[in-house]
Amino acid sequence: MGSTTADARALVTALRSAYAATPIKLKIIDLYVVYALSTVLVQVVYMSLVGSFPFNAFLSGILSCIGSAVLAVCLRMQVNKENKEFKDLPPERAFADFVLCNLVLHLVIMNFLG
Amino acid sequence: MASTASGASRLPLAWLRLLLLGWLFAVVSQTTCASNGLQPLSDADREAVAGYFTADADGFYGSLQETYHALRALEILEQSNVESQKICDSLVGLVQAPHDSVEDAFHVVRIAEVLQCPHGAEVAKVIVPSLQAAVEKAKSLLELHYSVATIAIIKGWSSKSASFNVALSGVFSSLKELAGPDGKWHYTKSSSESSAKAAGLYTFFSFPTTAIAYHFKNPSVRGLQIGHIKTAAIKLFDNLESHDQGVLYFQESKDDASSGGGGTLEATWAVLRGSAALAAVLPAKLKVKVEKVFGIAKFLLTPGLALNATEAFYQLDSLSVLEEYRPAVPVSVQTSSILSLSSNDNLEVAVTTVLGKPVSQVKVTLVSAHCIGADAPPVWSSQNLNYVENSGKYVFHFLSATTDLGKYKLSLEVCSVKSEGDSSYTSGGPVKSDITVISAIGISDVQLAVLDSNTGISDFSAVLEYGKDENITLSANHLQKLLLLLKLTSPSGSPFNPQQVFLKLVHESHVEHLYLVKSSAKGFQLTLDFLGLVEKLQYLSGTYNVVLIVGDMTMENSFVWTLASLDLDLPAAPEGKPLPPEAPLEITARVGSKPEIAHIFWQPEKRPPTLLSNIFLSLTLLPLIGFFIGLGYLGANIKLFPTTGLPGAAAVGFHGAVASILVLYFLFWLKLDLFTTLKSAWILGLGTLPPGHFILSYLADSSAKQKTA
Repeated sequence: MGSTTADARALVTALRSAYAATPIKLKIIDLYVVYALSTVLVQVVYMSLVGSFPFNAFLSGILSCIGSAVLAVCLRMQVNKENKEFKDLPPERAFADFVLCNLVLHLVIMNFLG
Repeated sequence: MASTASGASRLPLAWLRLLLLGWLFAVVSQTTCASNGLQPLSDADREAVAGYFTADADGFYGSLQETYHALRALEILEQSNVESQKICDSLVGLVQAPHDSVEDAFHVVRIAEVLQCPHGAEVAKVIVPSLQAAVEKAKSLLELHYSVATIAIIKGWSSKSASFNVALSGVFSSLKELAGPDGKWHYTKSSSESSAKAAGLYTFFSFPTTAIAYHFKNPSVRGLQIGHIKTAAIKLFDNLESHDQGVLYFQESKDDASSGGGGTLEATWAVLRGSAALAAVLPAKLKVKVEKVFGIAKFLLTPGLALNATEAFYQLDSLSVLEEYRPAVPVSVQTSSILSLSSNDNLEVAVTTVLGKPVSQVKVTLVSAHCIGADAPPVWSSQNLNYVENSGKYVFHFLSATTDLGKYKLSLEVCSVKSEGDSSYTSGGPVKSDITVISAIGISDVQLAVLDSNTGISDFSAVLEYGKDENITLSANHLQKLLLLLKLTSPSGSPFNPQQVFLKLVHESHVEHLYLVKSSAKGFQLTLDFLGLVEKLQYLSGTYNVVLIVGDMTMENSFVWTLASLDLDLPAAPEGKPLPPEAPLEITARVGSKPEIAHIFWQPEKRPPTLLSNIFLSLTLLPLIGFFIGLGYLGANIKLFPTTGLPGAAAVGFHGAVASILVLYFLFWLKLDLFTTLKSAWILGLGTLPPGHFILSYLADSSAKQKTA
């Protein structure tokens, strides 16, 4: 019992120190993802309280946040210097893609919102 | 009339009731029908026409002419409530006053003649001097007519006959001038168109004129050719206008209108009077075709013909002329329409003049009598009818023991009994009529029984006698049958098949069911199997009246006979919709208003309370605030934001463009539609592209430079 908590504590500390080494840009993107997902949570709690009418509004709200989160994760992957896969992709290009995709997503969301 | 309806089906009640009523009515009302299209003046018309003439305080009926019309009309109608004494007394006073025209004298003289006033000589004494002057002055047909007609009437009252001769010679020469070359006459020498009325008037007085001339042995009369007048008179009848159904009349011409109108009635009257006057004195008969005379008679007997007093006079005077018309007297022939075997009726034929007086100087022959519908030879042919003095009718013993019931077509012929000096009578051709022979039908062997459905054994049976009121009660349930038997015989003893034989069951709630009783060799029979009829009777148990209905056109005693009272026990109606008993048709129930429909509309969804929604809206914004706080905590900054020059402008432009797209999305959510948004987004996107591309490539270049440096 004691070892598991001690192990858990050790794990968390190791993660924290490793995370501190990440570049600020990536931390900003992570923060953005956390923001999006927390908004989703609030909406789901609301829906569970009052019911899902109107359903389209609920879906568009949820999908907007999740979509933004997904696009942010894609941006993080492309911007991360340690990621060998996107070595040749300039980060500005990735950002431009991110902006465009967000705009398209939000157009669809706005249409579905009603 | 359906006599072959199939099955014991329920028949509509309304038309049955109507039919039965119709038959009963036809049998009960023994109306005579006119069979040659000519009906004498009806009582309704007589009354209407007499009503046109109302006397003034002094006994006169308006002007002199109107008074004459009224007196003559009332004389024809045989009404004697005229104040003849008063009128006669005032006539002398009227005549003494100076006159402008001979017309007044003419009317006065005519009134005196109709009323047979005793003051004839006094009137004549006063009139004669002015008359001579008037005769010399007369130039038009009408003036001549008045003067000469007056002379003709008063010649018997005055002894100064010799002085007429001189006056008359002047008349005849004027007459000659007015006679046209083709047999037609004119009003005056100058008028060009001839008219039937002028022609009639001419003949009306021409012969009395000639008769006077003969009486006075006037030499100038020989100039007038009687033959010429006669041919001309016959030519008159060529002017007849025809209408449908054989009605003929004389049409007036323009000249007639100027002499006082009167129309077709006056023209017809004038021609009839004229031709009658001529025919009365001619040695040989005036040959006018009988169809023409008949057609004129039809015209004069048109119901409601006269609309005022003058027209009434013309109609009545014309009819009185026709009663003794020399060429031919039209007669109306009417036969009885229904002959009853049980009362052994005779066929009666009434032959009357147009005013309703019976005619006895004709021979009526029954040419043939056929039974309608059968191809058999005629029942009677060439039989003479006998005149019965008391009733004024011609009778014939039509019925015999072997006469069949039904409709017969008769053809009659009416001929004059030829004798010198008598008028010849015409019926306008052979007379066709229909008669129906009816009789009382015997009803016998009426039996009503209740049988068991399975075994056929009768549980109850009764023999009923027609005419006796026996209150019989039967009872039955759905496992039994009702049996009705009856026999109908005609007077000759053979079985009779009437057009309708029905059995009706009437429930105490007035619901009725009708069944056809079929005939067979043994008589009429009906079996009602209640097991099969339970549903049709709508499961209504209770007391039913059993009613027998028998009717036919030739049956004198068609009847509706309540045979018995039936207590019917039927099983109860099954669960589910109870069939409502079909009560007599209630019109209002069908077309009245229906119950109001309460519509249930889609209820809107329940929305959460506004406060809750607002709380969560603020909760949604919390993560955003948390994001900015986190950014600050991480040390994120915008120090590298280019501020000067083109990169700065590009950066601002890029951010501005993206912001504008987001604003567009916001407007799209609020009120725009997709197409407008897409159009604008496309334009704004194009606007975002250059600055975005520039700034990002600038940043990429600058970071690449930093790496290499």
